[in-house]
Amino acid sequence: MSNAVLQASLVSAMLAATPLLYAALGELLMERVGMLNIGIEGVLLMGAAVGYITAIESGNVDVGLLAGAATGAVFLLICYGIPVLRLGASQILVGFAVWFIGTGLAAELGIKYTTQPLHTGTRDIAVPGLSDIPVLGKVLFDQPWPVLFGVLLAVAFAFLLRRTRHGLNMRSLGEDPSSAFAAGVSVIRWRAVYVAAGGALMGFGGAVLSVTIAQSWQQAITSGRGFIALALVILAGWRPLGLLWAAYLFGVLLILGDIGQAHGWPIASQFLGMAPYVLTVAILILRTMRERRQSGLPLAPAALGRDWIRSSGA
Amino acid sequence: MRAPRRSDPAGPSAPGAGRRGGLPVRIHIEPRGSATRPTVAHRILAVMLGVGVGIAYLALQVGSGFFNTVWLATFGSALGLSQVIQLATPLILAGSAVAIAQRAGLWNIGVEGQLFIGAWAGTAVAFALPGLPSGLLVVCTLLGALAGGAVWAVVPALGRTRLGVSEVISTLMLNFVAYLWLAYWATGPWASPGTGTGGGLYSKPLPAGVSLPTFSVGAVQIGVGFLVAVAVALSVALLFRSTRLGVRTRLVGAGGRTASYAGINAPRVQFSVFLLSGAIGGLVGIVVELDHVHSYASTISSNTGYVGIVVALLAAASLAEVPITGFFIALLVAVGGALQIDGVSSSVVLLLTGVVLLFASFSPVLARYSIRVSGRSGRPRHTPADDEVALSASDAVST
Repeated sequence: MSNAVLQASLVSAMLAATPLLYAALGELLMERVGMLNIGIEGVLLMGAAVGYITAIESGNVDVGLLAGAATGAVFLLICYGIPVLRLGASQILVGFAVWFIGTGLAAELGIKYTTQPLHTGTRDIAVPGLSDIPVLGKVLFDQPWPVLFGVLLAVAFAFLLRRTRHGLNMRSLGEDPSSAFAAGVSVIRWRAVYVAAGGALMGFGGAVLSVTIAQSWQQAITSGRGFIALALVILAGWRPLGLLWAAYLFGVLLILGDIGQAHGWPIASQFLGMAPYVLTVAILILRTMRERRQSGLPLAPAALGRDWIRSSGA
Repeated sequence: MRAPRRSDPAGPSAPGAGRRGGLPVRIHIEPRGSATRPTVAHRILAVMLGVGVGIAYLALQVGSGFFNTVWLATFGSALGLSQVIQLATPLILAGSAVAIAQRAGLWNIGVEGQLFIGAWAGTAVAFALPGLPSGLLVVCTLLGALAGGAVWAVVPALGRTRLGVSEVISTLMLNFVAYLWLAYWATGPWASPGTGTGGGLYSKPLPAGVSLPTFSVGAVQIGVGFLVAVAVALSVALLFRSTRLGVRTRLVGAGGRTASYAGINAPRVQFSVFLLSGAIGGLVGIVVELDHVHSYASTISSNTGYVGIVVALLAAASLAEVPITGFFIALLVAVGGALQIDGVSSSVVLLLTGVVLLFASFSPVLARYSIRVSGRSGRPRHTPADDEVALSASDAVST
């Protein structure tokens, strides 16, 4: 593969990975405070639809992306945060509802926009100096701004979780909310905050998918990325920096079909398209096998998915 | 002042309904002191709230003629009712598949994939053995589909029971693989010669005679597939009620250590149940294919595997209720389908079922209140004595 082709492939892989990275970062934040949301797919779609519609109607791509984030936050708070945190509904059931409602509502909202392409691209950020590095410069430092911003967010979240007092509190919410409560951390309030933050990241990721990458809207635009993101969080061992390599690996897999077609590989495009899904399952299985053999691997937050209510004997 | 809790679905509407003059009955909804599981009344109330919200949304969007369309698409015409029965067929099967997995504490999100693989295996049988008498060939096709669905469930089942890999993710990922598998076969080896690709993916048609017949009751058409679906749902209900596997599954599904105290190999039971669930998932697509699609096509499912999850959840994993909830969801699907000419998206069914599911998940909250209907003037309105009581009740229900 020539340098130019390799570079072009890596550029699009990096771009394809970005929505996954945002979605997985959002889920990671939620899971670290004990909230399991299996409905990422629905939030991605809501962000993608509203972000795209806003970008078309306002003519401003950045406004569209931010609208996607805002939609994600509000949608997840209403459909997930309130039922789980205030009404004691099951996280799994509500997660399904989020997925279904998001998918259906996004399709409803976007129905008039499937035939309207977006003609403006998202602003590139070329980091002076760094973008001149051969191959890697273009891949990392001369991309639409959400790409680099995602990397920075992952680093910031790693710092937040590991090195700050608030990060310690966050982790205690996910491991043992009753102790956190006893130590004066407001469990419900902070969980609500991270539901909104997670929703914003997922919505933003969805908007990146429709506004920045596809520059068009269609009902099935996410094609399971929400669930790949759910798996990425596990693969990354609930660590933000682990998400970086995991997401970029899947970025490569996602564009494998396109690469194959461009090079005329003698294999049906459908089989290349299966790669990300098959590998998600394979890597999950491999990771769990490794987890069984060595004890040092990071595990899920202990209170993940459990309901916590104030009177539960804290 | 915490008494009038703002976001409780029962809170704002219910006491008002009891006080409104002119109603012949009074509905009393009062907080109860003790922890209780949601009763059928609670579940129905929760679902009806969800349906109400969904219908209101659609009615606002469609405007005039809405209720007429809804009526004609469901009970108001023989065509509508026949359609609902046709739609209920795969939903009952999909709901059964999800519900039996749930019995063993498993989530089978993979019915959408199992149905495409099951239909592929069944179709392969039909193409491979054209010499058989058609009745026998249909039976072989159905058996092929059962086997295909079960095989597709093997990897998630092993992953879950041997290693503890989340079956939610693994079954869902394989759905996308299965759909691409369909795309490959319908456009490649089994491509139909000479037709365009309008309206989804279609293979060449099945051999003549490989189909499930339809009979009429009055003007209403009922496919044999519908009877198959109801029979499957009821026989698994019976199987899980009265056999050793059923008892073991119940103990395993109850979680905790009960099963191991009883000397049951929980992973093995879960594995068997998962394969059975996959096998029934494999039937979902082939029944539609034999009933009216007649080729290996993307249209054998319209998110049926996913909507089946809602069918199962509404039945609260009670297998005998699945035909009822399946029929109920089929009504919603029929309404959604009929409204597509009014500019409603084909995914509106997911929106409707999602809203119903969201409200259904509130039934533990509703269970904090007792629902009584009486003909005379009732007791004075109750104010919730304390959040603590209500909260501890919900805690006991949810854990």
